[in-house]
Amino acid sequence: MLSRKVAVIGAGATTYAMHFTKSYYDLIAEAYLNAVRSIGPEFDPQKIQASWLATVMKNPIHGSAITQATGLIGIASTRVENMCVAGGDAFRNAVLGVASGAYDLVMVIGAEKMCEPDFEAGGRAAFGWPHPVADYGLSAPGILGMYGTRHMYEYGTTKEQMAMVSVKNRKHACGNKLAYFRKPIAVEDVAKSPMICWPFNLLDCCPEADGASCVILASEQVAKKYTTKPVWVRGIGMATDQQALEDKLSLSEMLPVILASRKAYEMAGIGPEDVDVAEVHDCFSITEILLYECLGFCQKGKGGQYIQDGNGYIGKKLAVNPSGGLIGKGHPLGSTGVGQICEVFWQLRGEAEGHQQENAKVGLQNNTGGMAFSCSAVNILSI
Amino acid sequence: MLPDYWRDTKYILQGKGDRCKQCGYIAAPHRKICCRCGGTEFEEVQLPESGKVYSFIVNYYAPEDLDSPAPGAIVDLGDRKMYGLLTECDPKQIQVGMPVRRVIRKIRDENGYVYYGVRFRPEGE
Repeated sequence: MLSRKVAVIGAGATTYAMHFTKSYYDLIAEAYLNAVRSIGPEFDPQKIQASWLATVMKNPIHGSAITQATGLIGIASTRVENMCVAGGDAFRNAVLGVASGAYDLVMVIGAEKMCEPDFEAGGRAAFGWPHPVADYGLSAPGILGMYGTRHMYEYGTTKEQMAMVSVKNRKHACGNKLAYFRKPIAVEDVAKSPMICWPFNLLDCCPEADGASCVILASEQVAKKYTTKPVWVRGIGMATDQQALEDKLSLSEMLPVILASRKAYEMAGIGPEDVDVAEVHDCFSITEILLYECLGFCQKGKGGQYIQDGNGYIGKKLAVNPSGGLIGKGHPLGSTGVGQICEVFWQLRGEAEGHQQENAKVGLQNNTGGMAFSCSAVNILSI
Repeated sequence: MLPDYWRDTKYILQGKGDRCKQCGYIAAPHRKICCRCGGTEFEEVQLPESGKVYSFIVNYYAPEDLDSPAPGAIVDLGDRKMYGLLTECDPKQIQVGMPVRRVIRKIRDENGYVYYGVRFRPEGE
């Protein structure tokens, strides 16, 4: 049963044909404009809080494709892939979003380009989004590298400070039996490892991995039947901005992280100073430095100093990535976020054997990523 | 990716963008909706040919059709920023603020089809 009524108030679409003159983003924009205009001139699409995107064939692609196409900066956006059922399932999720009371105004877009050769996927080679020719030559480290070079230029962040992040997370990983790496490294080891993509050496990067994780959630009534130590969800937040690096307002901060964390903190009724343990998205060393700033753990520009001062270690007021993070644990893309929730769950219940942050009461989970780092999710839990 | 290339040659080969009639922000390559103000009407403009490096990377594991190490930069043209691979450039000499000029060079090579487009070449002071 749904907690409250949900209505469809507008609809729009493109014709279905071989649309060679229109890109995938053009199709999304056209359907969106038709739907918005169908409601009337008084409707302000900036008020749409969340969106779901059903696309099957393009991979990898994610929710910020909507943000890139529509310009609705900050909107929460989820890509639903469920083969032919993607559209219906995206709609079902949007309904749950409104019925739950979390959102009052949401959008669902289904878009597909089947009549052209599929864009090649793969993390190593062709990160040519949003354009496979105009944006060619970047890779995952390339995208973060653009943020890194700019952060070093604007705030004087050093490669040494970046290496300190890797050192911390590799140390934490030694105590985590689920982690990929179980040996520590020193700051000098990072500079000696092969250069992958300036400004990153190999040890500044997280490894790809295979893996899976699972969490089970319940309503208050059902939770009481099964556990005396439920970990409560206090706040959830998700935000996107555009996928084009060149159009972002700043490359020394990550807007989706700032917006997503703000939503989560507000819902939870807490601030960054209340967090005891955080599992954040250190896909590269500089990412964690940016995340200290964007999640509010330190001031803008001071992320390098934060880790240099020894913050973030288990035992400090806030432990960042006590599991070892992506750098220490590995990064099996889909599993990482769920695995971070598992970790926060174990930390808050005192069950993180070998890498426990004592007396952790409030935990934060953060995933950030995608093309040009255009998406972020922040979830806050407490015991 | 031939259709994506064909749709945007005005940007990739001619360096043209679309100025939003509502707020003046230039979209490049084209968009249906302005990412700053949501406007949907545009007029074509020519982007400046030179600018300064805003940020850069050097990819030591670039795709097969590029020479590694492959330097790339986000260049501030004044009117807007533009991404491009660098060319005729020592990767160790790149600095934020360095002046560069837009040139047409080979970008991608897929199954024998060569895609030409924008790269940036350092300008001597």
